[in-house]
Amino acid sequence: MLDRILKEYPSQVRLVFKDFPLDFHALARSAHEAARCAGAAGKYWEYHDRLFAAQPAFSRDDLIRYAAELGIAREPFVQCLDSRRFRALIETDIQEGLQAGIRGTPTFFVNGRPLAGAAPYEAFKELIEEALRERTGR
Amino acid sequence: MTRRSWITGLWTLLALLAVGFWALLVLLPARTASQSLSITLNPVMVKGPLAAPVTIVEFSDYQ
Repeated sequence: MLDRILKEYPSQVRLVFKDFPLDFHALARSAHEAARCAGAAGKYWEYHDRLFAAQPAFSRDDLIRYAAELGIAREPFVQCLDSRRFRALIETDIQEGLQAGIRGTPTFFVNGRPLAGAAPYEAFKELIEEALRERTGR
Repeated sequence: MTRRSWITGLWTLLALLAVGFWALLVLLPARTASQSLSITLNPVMVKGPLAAPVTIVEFSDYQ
């Protein structure tokens, strides 16, 4: 659905993904760390999409296999994953989310305006159009 | 003013206070969230043009 929005507003909308693994999802944190490792290899969004398609299969072996399937070099990926290279940055995202008042996922903000849960396309479109009108002063 | 109209007025006042309190509970967190959104940006985790006038920020969990 967000891809549809990005296609519809190719020069007007950007999407920023923030990590917010929930504590009660035991494997979520390592999945988020793996996605960052894939990002370091230049395959962030491909890996991101792979994780959503594969949830909740996020064992260490799964995460390494997904990387291999995307052509990511095994050794640096495994080293990144095992050393928890991006742990602190994910924690920063979590703290930012908590400060923004997030209570569950997914939570979206459209130019700062919150939209919680699996909101429909129309809800995004309304906020986007409103933001664009505010920008042009109409 | 009769005792009955005093009681009616009191109930009306209590109902208005309850509605106001509920509205504060529901609306205030959203407003606070909107106003306090301050995030760091990792270009790797951005899709779309960096200079786009509208930014959708998604906080999500893979699992």
